[in-house]
Amino acid sequence: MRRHTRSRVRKRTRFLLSSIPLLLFVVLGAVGPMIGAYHPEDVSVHDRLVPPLGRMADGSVAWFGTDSLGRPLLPQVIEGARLSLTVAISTVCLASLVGLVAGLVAGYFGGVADMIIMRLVDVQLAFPALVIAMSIAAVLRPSIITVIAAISISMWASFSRVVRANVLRIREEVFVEAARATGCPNLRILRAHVTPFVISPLLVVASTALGVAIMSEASLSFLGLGVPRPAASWGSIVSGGRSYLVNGWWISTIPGIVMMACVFSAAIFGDSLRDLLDPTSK
Amino acid sequence: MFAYIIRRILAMFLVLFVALTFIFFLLRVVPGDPAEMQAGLGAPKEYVDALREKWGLDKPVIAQYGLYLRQVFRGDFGNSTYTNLPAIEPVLERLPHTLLLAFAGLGLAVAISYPLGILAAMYANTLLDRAIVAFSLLGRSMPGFWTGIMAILLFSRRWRLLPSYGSGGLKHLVLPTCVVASVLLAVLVRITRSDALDELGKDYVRTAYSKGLSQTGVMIHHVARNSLISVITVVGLQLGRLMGGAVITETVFSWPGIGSLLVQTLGQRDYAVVQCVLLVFAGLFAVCNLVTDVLYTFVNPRIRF
Repeated sequence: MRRHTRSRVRKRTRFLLSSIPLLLFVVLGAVGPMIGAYHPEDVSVHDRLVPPLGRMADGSVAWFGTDSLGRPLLPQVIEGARLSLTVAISTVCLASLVGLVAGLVAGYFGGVADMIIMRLVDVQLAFPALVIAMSIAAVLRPSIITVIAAISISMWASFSRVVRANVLRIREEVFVEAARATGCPNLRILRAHVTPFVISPLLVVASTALGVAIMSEASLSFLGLGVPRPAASWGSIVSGGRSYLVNGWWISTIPGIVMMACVFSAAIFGDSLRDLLDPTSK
Repeated sequence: MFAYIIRRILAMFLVLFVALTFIFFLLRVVPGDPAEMQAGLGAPKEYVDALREKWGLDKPVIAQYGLYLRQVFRGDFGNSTYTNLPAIEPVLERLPHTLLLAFAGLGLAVAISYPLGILAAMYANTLLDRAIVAFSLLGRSMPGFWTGIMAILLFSRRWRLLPSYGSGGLKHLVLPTCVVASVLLAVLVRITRSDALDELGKDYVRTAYSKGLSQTGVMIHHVARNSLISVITVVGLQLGRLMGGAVITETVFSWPGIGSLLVQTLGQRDYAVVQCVLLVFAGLFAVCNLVTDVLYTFVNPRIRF
């Protein structure tokens, strides 16, 4: 008993500690732009390509250097954090919701609905996720909504598969049968009995997907298919820095490092969440 | 067993057919008129209308779809709206480059991750293990395009060791392959390690040790071979990621493959070629999944159909 409690406490502390880095990024994205705002129109020829920690014309320090138009990189990176996390969290929520509903319907009701939904999932999984996101983002007008839609569509299929697998398992449980026997309507069974058991696995997949969503958004922006400039996305900043690799290496390097840290935070958050929700892990 | 393969092949064709439909309708939902884009600004209306009629864009969508299906089954994928040459040509021309890159990257990733994963399991919970796990977690967080650009920065610009774009020799292949491999490496190390750890806990391993087999012997003869099962499964699952990674890598290194072709033609709204590329991606993917499934039944003798 004591060992069980010790393990729970350990997992809970590990979870709380692991969520700190990600939380820091969220706070950065939420509050950062208010402190160090990004003014894309503030172009300054004098301050072109100032290296990190160098001084700009007005005397202030450019902590992350400036880009080819003389705009300091730090506010852009912070704005990028806000954009990436907004897109990633929205995407994961949307894809989880769609995947949850699709998986519940397919798993619980079976039959034609199951067949249709699973064929859709199969077709979706026949393409690399990035290719789907790219195609959708390219055909619609570029905007943040387009990016969220594109990445969500490329993601929902794997969510629905996980949900469906769990629903199939829960459906056969005695308490579900009992609920049906007492005349409980299907919708209520789904809401009150099935869904609670499906949420945990879904949360685990969703938290892993957060990191993937951040990288997908950056990849789309890098390819020019994401949120259009002058909105600062890490991917588009890195892409813009490609022409200045020799005398402006920081433009491509620094956003990448920040992005890596963010995805890493999301990854350890996801791992600790999975350990927390998994009764078999120590 | 044969029946299983036949069934899987049929399922594959069904999925490809639905994929074809999906692609067709996706590109028809687009705002923007390809005829106008091709004709250019200020073109006379009659010219644009004639172009539209030539490409069958004035017919109802269903009619266009029927026409498209008939053409596809004849092997005719239409002409590129830009070069007016058959759309399939650039795709076929560039496909071998993508395959080369993808398989080289896959080979490199497996060659590095497999021993690393086994090593990590062998020395579980030691410094080496923790280092390998941390490294793989870090690798999972590195975006492919950034890795590529950093590789160019260091190896092409700073140290002038390797070329940064194009293809044409082994030298050109090195950097893109490493980048493609890095995308896959982290995940593979993790899975190999976790699977090898699972194997180590099993009874037959204990038997092998009690028979007097050395640790290396056990590792090589038993654990490594059984971990191969999950490596194949994971590689199969990660093929999508591999191909997505290939698209990014090809763009970064201007590698003449179908990934960079996709990016280019999406920007040009060249429907015919985009459809071709997407179909080829789906086909490649489907074939790889099929091969993975079949390979799996060979490697794991417990699976029999």
